[in-house]
Amino acid sequence: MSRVKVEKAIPQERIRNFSIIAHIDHGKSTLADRLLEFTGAVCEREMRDQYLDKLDLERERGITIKAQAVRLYYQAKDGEVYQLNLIDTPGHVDFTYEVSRALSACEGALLVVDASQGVEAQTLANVYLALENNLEIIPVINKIDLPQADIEKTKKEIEEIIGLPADDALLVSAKLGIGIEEVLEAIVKRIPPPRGNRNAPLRALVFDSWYDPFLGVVALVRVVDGMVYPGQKIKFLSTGKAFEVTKVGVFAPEATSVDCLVAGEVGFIAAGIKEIRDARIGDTITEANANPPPLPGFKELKPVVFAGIFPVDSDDYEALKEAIQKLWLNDPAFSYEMETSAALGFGFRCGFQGLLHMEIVQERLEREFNLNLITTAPSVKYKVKLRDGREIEVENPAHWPDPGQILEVYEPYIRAEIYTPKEYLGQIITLCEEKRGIQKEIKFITPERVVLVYELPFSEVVLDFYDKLKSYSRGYASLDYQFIGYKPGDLVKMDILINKQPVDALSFIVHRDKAYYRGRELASKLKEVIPRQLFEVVIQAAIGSKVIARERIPPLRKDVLAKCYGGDVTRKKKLLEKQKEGKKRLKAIGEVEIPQEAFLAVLKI
Amino acid sequence: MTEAVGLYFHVPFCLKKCPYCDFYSVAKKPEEKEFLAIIKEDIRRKKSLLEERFFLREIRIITFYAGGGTPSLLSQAFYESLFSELSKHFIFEPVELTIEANPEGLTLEKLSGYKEVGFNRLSLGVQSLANRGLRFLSRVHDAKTALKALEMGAKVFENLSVDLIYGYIGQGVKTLLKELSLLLNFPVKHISLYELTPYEGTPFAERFGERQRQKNLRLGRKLFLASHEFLEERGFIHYEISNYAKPSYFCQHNLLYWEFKPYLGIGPGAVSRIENLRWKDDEVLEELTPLDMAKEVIFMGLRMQKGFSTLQIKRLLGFSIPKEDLEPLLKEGLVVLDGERVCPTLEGFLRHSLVVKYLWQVVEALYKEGGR
Repeated sequence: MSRVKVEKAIPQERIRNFSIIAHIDHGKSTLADRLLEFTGAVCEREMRDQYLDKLDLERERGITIKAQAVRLYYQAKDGEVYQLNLIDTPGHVDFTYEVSRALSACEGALLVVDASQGVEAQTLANVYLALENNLEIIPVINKIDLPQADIEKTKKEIEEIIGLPADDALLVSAKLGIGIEEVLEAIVKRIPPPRGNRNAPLRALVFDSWYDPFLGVVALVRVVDGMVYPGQKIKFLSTGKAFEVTKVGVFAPEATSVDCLVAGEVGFIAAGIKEIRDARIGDTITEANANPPPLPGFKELKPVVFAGIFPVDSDDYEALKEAIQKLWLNDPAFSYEMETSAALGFGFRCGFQGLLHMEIVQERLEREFNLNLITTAPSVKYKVKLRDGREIEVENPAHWPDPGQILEVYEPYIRAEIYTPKEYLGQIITLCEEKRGIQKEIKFITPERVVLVYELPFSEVVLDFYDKLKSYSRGYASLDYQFIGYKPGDLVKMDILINKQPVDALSFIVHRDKAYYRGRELASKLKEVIPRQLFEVVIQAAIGSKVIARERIPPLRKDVLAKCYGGDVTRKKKLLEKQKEGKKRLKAIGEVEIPQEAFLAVLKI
Repeated sequence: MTEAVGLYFHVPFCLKKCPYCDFYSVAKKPEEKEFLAIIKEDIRRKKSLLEERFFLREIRIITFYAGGGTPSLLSQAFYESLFSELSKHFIFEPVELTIEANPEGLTLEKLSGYKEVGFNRLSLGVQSLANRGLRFLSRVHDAKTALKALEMGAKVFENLSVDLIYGYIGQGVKTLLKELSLLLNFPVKHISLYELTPYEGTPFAERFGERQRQKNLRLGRKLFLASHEFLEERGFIHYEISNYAKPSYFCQHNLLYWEFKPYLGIGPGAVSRIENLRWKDDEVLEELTPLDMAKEVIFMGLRMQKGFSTLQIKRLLGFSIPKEDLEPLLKEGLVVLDGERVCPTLEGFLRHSLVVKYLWQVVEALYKEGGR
C-alpha cells in the first residue's frame, strides 16, 4: 500500500487516537509494525522489527518502556482519509504510570490477546485503566496462525474475565499480516473522534517529554482545545513559565514538522526549553496570557520498592546525580533522594514502581549515561511503632531502629491475582505459602485456567516472586496486584558483616521465621560470589549481636606471573591493570573487594 | 651527559617455534650479513634518538644480553662485527655479556668461540632434564643432549646459567627435585626456574589452557615451595620470583629491569626504556607518568627478594607509602620491612600479583588525594 498524501488539515471527526493494550509477548509491537507498514508510514526497506521501540533496551528485552506516538494516514473503505495517532504503551505492571499517561491521550484502545495464551493478569489491569479513562476497547485476537491457537476459548476468556463482548473480536495474525485492514477499519468505525474545540483557547496535555540536543526539551502533547503553532507564546500551567514555540511536529514515524497541531491531535512541540523540569509530564500547556482550568493530570503513583543506587567509582557521584535528574524528567515514576552509605559512599535512595522498573532504571542509567552502578537489595516501606509512641516509616534497612525501641512493625500487603493454567496450580500455591501468603480465593475461569487470589506481604513479592512464578509455570502464569494496606509482622533486621565490619548496603529486613534460612543462604551465596583475594575473608550474618551464619573465604594462595623482563613489562602490567579493571564492579570494603553480584545476591535467596 | 644502560640484543630466529613461547621469533636460519646490516641501522637509529630526544651524547653499556629466539644460531664472527659496531657508537664496557644457547647443535668449539669474542656468561635453554618434559614442551633436544650441553657449557663458561620450566603435565614434586638434582651435578651458578604458563595466543594456551590452569592452581604452589627449599639448602639465593643464584652470580642485566634502570634493546621487536619513554621499533609503548613509574617500581621491585625502596617512590611521587597501608601486608606475612625497603616474603612471591594490585590501589588513591 502506498503512502496517502495529505494536503489539507484533517477535520476533527476524522481523527482517531488509540493505544494498544497487550500482555508482554502477545504481539503488540508486531501489530504496530504491521499497521505502520499497511498505511505506508514505513516502507519495507525502512522497516525494522519493533519499529516503535526506540530504546535499545526495549528491543533487547522485547518490551516497551516509554510511550511513543505515531501518526498514520489511512484511506478507509468509505473513501475518506483518516488521521490515526497510535500511542504506544508499555505492558508491564511496573509501568502503569506510563500507561495511564498514554491512555489519557486516547479515545480508544486495541486489546490484543494471544490466541494461544489467553487473557493475562496485567492485560486486565491495563484494560481497567482504559475503562476508567472511558476508552472504546476493540478486542483483537492475535496469533491465530499458531497451531495451538484456540479462538473460541480466547473469546470466552475475554467475555468471562474481562467482561467485554467478544463476538466481534478481530482475528489477526500480526506476524503474517492477516486481518490488519480489518483492524484499521474497526479503529475508524468504532473509536470515537476526539472531542474538544478548535476555536477555544489552547489547552494541551504533556504526556511525555525528553531532552533533544538540537531542539532543547521536546514535549509530546495531546491538544485538547485550540491549536498550537510555531511563534505562539505558550506557558506551562504548573510553573507559569512562558516560552515561544519554535517547532511543531509529528512522528510519522520519523519526526516531521507540521504547521500546527489542532484540538484532537497528538504531536510534539519544541519551545527552546532548556530545563526538562519546565516541561513536566502531566502538565497543561496554555496560551501565555490565558488562564483556563488545568486538564486533569495523571494518577501519580507512589513508589513501592526502594533501593540504593551508588556509583562503583565514588568520583562518579556528580555524574550519577546529573544522570538521575535527567532520567527522572523522562520517567518521573521513580523517586530519588541522596543517601550516604558507610560501605558505598554517596549515592541515592530511589523508589520504583516494581522490580522490573528498578532494573530498567539502573540499566538506563548505566547505558545512557555510561555509569557503573551498584544497586542494593530492594526494600518496601515498613511502618514502625516505637516505644516512645512515635510511628516512623522505614524503607532503608540502614535506618531500622534499635530493636529495643521497637514496639511493633507493620508491613505492606498486596492482594495478588494470579492467572495460571491449572497444571501449575500446585506449585504456585506452594510458592504463595512459602511467601507467607494468605489464600483468599481459587476459581476456575475455564476448565483449564484458574485465578488464584492471595494476600501477600509485599516484601516477599519484591524479591523473586515474579521470577519464581514464571519459572514454576514455564512462563504461563501472570500476576497483577494492588495494595491493601499494612498488617503487623514479626520482622527483624539482618546485618551482614565482612571481616567483622557491618556492610550497611547488604543488610535487609526479614521475617523472623525466615531469618535463619536467609542468613545462612546469603552467607554461603556471598562465599560463592566474593572472589578469593589477598586476605582471608570472613562473612557473618547476624541479628543484633547474635551471629547466625559464618563463612570463610581462604586467601588466594598463589597468583604470580612466572616471568617479567624488559621486553614484556608493558604487557604484563596491562594484564594486571586489566584484572584491576575487571574488578571495576567491585567495591572495596575495608580491604575486601566485593563484587556487584554480592549486592544482588541478597535478591536471589 | 653519560648514561649507563644495559643492552639487550634480540635474535628473532629459531629452528622451531616452541608452543609455549610468546616472544617474537621466526622459524628460520638467519642470513647473517643481511641481519647485521639491519642491526647496524637499528643501532644508528637508537643512537640518534638518544641524542635528539634525551640529549644523551655518551652511553655506557654496562651489560650485554643476547636473547631470543636463539642467539646461538649466530656465529662468532657475527658477534665480533656487532661488538665492534657497538664500540663505535657507545662506550662498550659491559661487565656481564650473556648469550642464550639451546642444547641442540652446540659444540665445544662454538662455545669457545663465543667466549673468545667476549661473552662471559652462558644461559642454556635446558628447560627439562626429563624426556617426558621435553616432549611435552615439544623441544628439539632430548635429555641426553641437554646433559651433554651442560657438560660442554660448564667446561667453557665459569658463569653458567640454566633455564628450566616446571609444571608440565606428569611432573610432580619428586620429578622436579630429581631434575634439579641432576642439574646440580654440574657447577651451575644460576637457575631461572619458570612455571609453565600457557600464554594467550600461543598454541599451548589453546591445547592445554584450562587443564594446565587447574593443575597450576593445585600443584604450582607445591612445586614452587619444594624447589625453593631444595635450592636454598644447596646454597642458592632465591633473588627473584623465578631466579636463583649462588652469591655474586645474580644476573646483572636482568636486575636492571627489576630495579627500574634504563635499558636499550636492539634487534626486531626489542624494547628500550630510557627515562619515561618505553618503545619498540617505531612504536611508543608507554610514556610513563610519575605515577606509572612508581607503579612499575612496585611491580618490578616486588619480584626481587630485596623488594623496592620507599625512598624511590617518594622521589617519584613526593610522598611515601604510609606504614598503615603496609600494615595489612605485614600482618599477613606477605612483606617485611628492611630499613626503607619493602621486601616480599616467600608468600609475597607466591601472591605477587595480588600484592602489586593492592599497592597500586594504595598509591593511586594517595596520588589522587595528593599524598597524605
